[in-house]
Amino acid sequence: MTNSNIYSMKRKLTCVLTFFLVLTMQFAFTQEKSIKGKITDSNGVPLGGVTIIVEGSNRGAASNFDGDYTILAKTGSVLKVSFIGMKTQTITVGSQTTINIVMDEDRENLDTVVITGYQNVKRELFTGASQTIKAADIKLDGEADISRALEGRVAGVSVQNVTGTFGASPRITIRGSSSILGDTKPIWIIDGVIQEEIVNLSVSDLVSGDANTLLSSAVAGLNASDVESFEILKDASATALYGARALNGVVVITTKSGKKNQKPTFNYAAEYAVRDIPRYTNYDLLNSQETVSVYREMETKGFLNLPSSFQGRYGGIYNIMYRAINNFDETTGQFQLQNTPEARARFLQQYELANTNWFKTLFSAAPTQTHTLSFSGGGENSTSYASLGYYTDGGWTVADRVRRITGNLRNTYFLMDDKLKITTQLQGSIRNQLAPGTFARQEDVVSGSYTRDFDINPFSYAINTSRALRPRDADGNLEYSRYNWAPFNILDELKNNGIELNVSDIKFQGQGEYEINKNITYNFLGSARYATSNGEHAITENSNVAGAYRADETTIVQDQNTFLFSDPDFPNSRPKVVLPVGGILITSKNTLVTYTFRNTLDFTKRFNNEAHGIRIYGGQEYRYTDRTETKNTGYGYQFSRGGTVFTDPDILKKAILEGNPYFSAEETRQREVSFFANLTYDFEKKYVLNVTGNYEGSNRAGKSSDSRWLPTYTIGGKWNVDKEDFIKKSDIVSSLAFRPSYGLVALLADNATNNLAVFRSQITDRTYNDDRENYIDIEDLQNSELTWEKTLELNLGVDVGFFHNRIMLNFDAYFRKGKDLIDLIRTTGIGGESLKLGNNSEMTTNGIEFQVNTVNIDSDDFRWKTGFNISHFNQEVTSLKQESNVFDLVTGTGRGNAIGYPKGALFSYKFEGLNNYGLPTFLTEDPDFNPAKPYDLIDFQDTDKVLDYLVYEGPTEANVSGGLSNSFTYKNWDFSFFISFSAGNKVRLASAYKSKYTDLDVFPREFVNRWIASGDENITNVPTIASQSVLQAFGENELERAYNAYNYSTARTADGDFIRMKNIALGYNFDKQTINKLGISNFRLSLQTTNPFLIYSDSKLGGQDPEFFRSGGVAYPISRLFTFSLNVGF
Amino acid sequence: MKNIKFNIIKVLAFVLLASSCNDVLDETPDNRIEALDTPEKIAELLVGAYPDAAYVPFLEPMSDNAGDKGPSADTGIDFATTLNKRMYFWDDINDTDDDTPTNYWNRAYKAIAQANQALASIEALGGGSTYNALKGEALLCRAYAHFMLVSIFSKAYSSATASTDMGIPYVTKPETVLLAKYERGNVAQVYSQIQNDIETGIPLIKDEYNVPAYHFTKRAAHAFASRFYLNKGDWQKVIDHSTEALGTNALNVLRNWTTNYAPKTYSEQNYFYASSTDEPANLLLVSASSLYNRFHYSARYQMNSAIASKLFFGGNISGNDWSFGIYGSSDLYYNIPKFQEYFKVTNQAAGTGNAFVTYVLLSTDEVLLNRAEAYAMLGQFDKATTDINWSLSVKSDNYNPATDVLTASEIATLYQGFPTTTYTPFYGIPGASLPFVAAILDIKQTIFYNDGLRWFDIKRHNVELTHTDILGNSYKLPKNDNRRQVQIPESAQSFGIPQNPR
Repeated sequence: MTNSNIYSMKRKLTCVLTFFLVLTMQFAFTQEKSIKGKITDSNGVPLGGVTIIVEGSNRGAASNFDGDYTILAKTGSVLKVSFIGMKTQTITVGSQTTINIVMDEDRENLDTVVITGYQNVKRELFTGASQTIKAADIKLDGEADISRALEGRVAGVSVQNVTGTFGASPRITIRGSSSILGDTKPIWIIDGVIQEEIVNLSVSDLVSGDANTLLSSAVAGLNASDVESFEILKDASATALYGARALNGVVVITTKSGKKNQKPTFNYAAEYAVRDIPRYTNYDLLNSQETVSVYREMETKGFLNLPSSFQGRYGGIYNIMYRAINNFDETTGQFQLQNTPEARARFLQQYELANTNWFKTLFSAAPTQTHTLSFSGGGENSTSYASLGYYTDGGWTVADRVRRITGNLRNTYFLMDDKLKITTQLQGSIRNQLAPGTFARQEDVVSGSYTRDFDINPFSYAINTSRALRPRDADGNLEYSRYNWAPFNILDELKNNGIELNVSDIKFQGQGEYEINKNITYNFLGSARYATSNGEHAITENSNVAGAYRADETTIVQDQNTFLFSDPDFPNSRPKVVLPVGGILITSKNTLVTYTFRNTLDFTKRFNNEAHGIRIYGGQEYRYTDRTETKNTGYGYQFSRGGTVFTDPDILKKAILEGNPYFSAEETRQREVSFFANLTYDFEKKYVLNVTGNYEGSNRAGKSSDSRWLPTYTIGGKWNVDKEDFIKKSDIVSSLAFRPSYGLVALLADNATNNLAVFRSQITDRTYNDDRENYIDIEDLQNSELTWEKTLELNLGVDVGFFHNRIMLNFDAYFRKGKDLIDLIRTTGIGGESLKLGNNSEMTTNGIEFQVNTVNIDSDDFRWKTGFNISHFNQEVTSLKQESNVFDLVTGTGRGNAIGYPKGALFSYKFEGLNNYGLPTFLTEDPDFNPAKPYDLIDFQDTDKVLDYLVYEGPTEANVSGGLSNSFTYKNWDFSFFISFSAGNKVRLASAYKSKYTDLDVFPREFVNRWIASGDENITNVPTIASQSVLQAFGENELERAYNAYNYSTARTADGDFIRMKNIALGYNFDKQTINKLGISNFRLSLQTTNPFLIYSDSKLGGQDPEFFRSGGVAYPISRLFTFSLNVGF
Repeated sequence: MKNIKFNIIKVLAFVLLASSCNDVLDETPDNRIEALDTPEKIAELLVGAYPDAAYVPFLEPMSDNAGDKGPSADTGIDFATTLNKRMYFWDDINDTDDDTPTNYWNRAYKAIAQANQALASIEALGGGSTYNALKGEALLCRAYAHFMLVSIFSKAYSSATASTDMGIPYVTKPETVLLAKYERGNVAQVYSQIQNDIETGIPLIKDEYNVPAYHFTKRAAHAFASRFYLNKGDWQKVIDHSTEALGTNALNVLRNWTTNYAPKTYSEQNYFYASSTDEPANLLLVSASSLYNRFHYSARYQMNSAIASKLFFGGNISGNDWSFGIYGSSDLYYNIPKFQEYFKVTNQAAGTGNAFVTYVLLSTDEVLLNRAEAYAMLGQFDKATTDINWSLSVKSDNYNPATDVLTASEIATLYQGFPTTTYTPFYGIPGASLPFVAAILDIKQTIFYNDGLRWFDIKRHNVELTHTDILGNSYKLPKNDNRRQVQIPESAQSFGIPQNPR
């Protein structure tokens, strides 16, 4: 700021003071008594700048920074006290000379503005379907990611916690989402700017549990305490200005800011949350004794014999036993364990009695802590808000830990008599996170399963590992089982195989608003954000992974072990170890650089005695986003030798020849330009017409200028019936409005960008490295007809309030028709691409949304409010060229699509009972069914008329969702509870059945009813443990498919419906006297429990969380949280 | 004041709109190749212009190289079992997996698209001598893929009926719309376009390749031309191109099974068979996505005892045993080491990935016998006999040139009385030529066992086939039977491409 500006500001201040002085002198002359007092808000925070006027006179005063005021008035005169955002009060002056005034927030007033991220629009003039939520109303204390708090709060918004891990995004869809193969996530807007994710993941990636899901939440770097409010924009009219990015809806977040003339206030908030350790009662598994009896059956069926258990890939307690039998002790001259049935039985008995509680071994009740120190304040010419937050999570499991620091600084300056308003904002976060070492999940479409190399996710381990195994032996030493031919102990492994993630994220934002004249305002916004994530996956030389690379003790192991290397240049060579020393260090780095610039003009005017109102808003925006991803796998890194790298060149040869690049770098660039205009006209605010046009350009298709630009439009209307005379008089109806809107929104899909042919460089897949060449592959042929995915939406909304809005109802019905949606088409192949992405499919989604908010009791001491919302939609894919394969249709990851069904439908193989071998049977009525080869018809890759034999179960996404909240305030106490619910979808039960088990496996409770002897097929549906001879007779591959088909059969689904007690909170605000004594302005304590229990879920789930996908990796279910919070203002 | 501000904003908006937008939006969204604007890039495009799919797995069981081993034999892979069985009985198959006709169709047209893109890019860059060699390769690639398609999916060439026999769509331009329309045309048109591409292309070819064995070198191009003209019955051209392909010292570039394979281990033989550097006989190789290495020996309809006896155990006309070692513990697994799998791992723990097998598309062995057949057809029996002797000399055990060389009259005697109705190509075989043609086709059947070439000879010579199952039932494929044209893919039919009659 220049000196002259300071000078002019000072002079202004002097003027104001002089003015007040003159007024005071004037009042003094009239000899009325002087009234003093302090004005505060309901939290006791002093309010400056509050205007006090003596009614019927021209006298007035304003409170100072400390909220103190002085005014002269006669007894009996009426003071009118008003302040923006607060309810205006009138006070009759009595005999007293001190009047302290507490201002109540004018909630209704705040609710009358819709913040779209572009504009602030008066609710009465807003024609779209949107919902405003105050963060304070829904915040879940102890939950660091604010997006999870939206669950059940907004009609039409589905939040599914497919994983509860910090940093991983829940699956959020608005109105069932609009794209079939493309992105279905809504966009997040923070303070007017699109918040891009560091990595862009599809819905099926979100449930994968892969390490990159830790970067999938757009708002993980945002301190929940900094959020002021949410605005959920749902229909075409509400999202119109977002044009081509808004197909899946918009969530607008507004962060806190300071207020003008507000006394500087510090606020300290602390949250301590304790998580519950999962219990076996929720996962109905066999105990160790029952498990060992299953192992004994496996032994009789030809498994778990010495050679296979001793040298095989996996081995549990039998492997431990055989090692003892083979262990010759030279001092005693005896084997550690004698190979007699008695000795063996005795040996196994200790495991039978182990009954290990893996949850207790691997999980801890370490609390999470959240500390936020914030400051807000403001003068006449500036306001500021600053906060510093620290979140630490010692780890729900021994493998996890999170630390996050967030900072936020927002200043607004009011210059040139408030004509110019400049806002600067700085938001940053630093995050350090530990997670169990994980590799990406892979699909095995042939046998119909997902697999993950070396999965050590503690949760997966606990529910998938035999309780007969022990983490430590009787002497307290770590006890090792066998995994991938190498010794394995989970506690040891979690120490030696982990991921450390460091994310830093910083955003600068500046906004200038200049009032050119009283009708026209010019607004500029510029924002820059840089985020980077460094991941280090450290696999030490002592890890099981390194062990697997070194396992070559016998020729049998050498031939089996896929981590050894057979050099094709030496055709007669034996498989050999290529990681003789050291471990593996995998480093990955993701960066995001994004800029947004926006210029807008806003024109507002009322004509003809204010009868006609017009607002024209238009502008231009430019968005720039670059993402990079690099990854390097360093073999032979010696963690115990200060990081000396000792690499066997043959491991690189192995990696290269097998087609696994040992390093990679990728870059994507997104450029978007949009022009938009919005016109709102109203007649006496009764009849509102809103038209929006958006013209958006994108570089998704590279240099091609065809369909680079897309115009979208919406038209909306509103009839504020409550402004009509016939309603105005009503005592019952206090507000009533109809909102029809119609419009087009669109999205340029990420997966189809071939307006011009897409050429990509590749390496030929040839056996020998010397034969390999670079080549340029036509990844996609040109599709000059490629266009944007579009949705036409008709929305009909009604808002009605009764009894002075103590009962508020909102109802919306919408009819969406998606067209030109991208899907995959099988072509003639003659053009050179047998499967092509094109605008082939269509989908309709029709839904209703309803919500009601009531104030049931509103007395001075007691207040009871209720909120309820429910939404339902019907979705149907009406046109589709893609033929989904069976795997996508039956696994329930949301990729199964078929005409006549909702997007992401779940299908099953029809389970037709067990046969007289205890094996599941399918497709027995098919004309091609061959009883000699009963599983030949099971083909997970089949796409040909598969719906003829698969059974439709239901959608994978819930189509009914909602919530019920109740809050009670009694004097200083408040109590609230919130129930969320969701229904209509089906979930696939965890894949529990296999054609071959090992002695590491644990079995679900229903295993006690398994088929054991012929005839059992009449009384049970639980397949047998296939014996070696049955495996040989039917074929190992065939039975693997058969058991997977059973996992994906009608016998293995459950309803996804649930009612969850989401949150219960009890709070106490200390009364004014106490806090005054303490010299602070407010003091609040509260206790919350989040996710305490499920009120209802399908009994088939046995108490498991229906939202959670058991995908391993870094995924954990959401936990039961008990949070103690403290909030002090001073 | 107001106007000035307004103007600034207007100008600002206009400048942003007019200048920056389109430049900004030209930014490439990811690491794709922006423009094919250099000879290197076009050369790399052509690396992908070879059909990387296997035809051996579906053509061998159709030919008389396959017999029924009985129900104990099984590929262990469902789609492969189905494929093997359906092809043996000349049934249509809708599967799109690797190793199927549909996959070959798709990949051949993919190769054509790569070649057409290269040609289009060369044209867009103005062509010129810098691009001539590339243009030559592109034309050969396009011709080769179309030739293989027409050979598999249409009738064998016949000068009498070619202009009415259904061809396959001959694609010369990159596809630019989602679903383009294509016509099958006729065999004559397809052949004339292939010939045109070959004749324009061959003079342009230069041997400037990083890995020549995977590209149309001059010799490979001539080898392909030799095969093409053999199908047309243009004998002198077969001889000319074959001679070009073989070079001056043909004997030294043949696959010498006698000295280089027979003494080696199984793995080493596999290695040599598809080696790009150590085997001079390999003129064109391709690494195709294929599971064939996992089931060629175990499939039910493959080399059973009868086939093994007929092709290998009886020795050859030089009076020696074949030097091919038949591996496999029993006739359930009889095989000759020709394949090796490259397994590109996607998931080490699950053991999943993609399997590739290197196939020999063109070799000197084939060219030599093409020439022999052409000599025989032109009545130059001594020259034909020389080529036959060369071929046998490197495939026979204990071959002694002093005693084992055949004379033309010996061959004529050996095949005296060979039925004249067995081979009935469109051009007709003169009586004097027949013994030589018959001898050549027999040698080819053995030495190209599991190379897929036998089927093309059967088609070209219109040989009647009989397949027998294990129970003794026999199934005939008469001459001119429509099932000799493999059915075009179901997906192509569904867009109105006429199917082959059945």
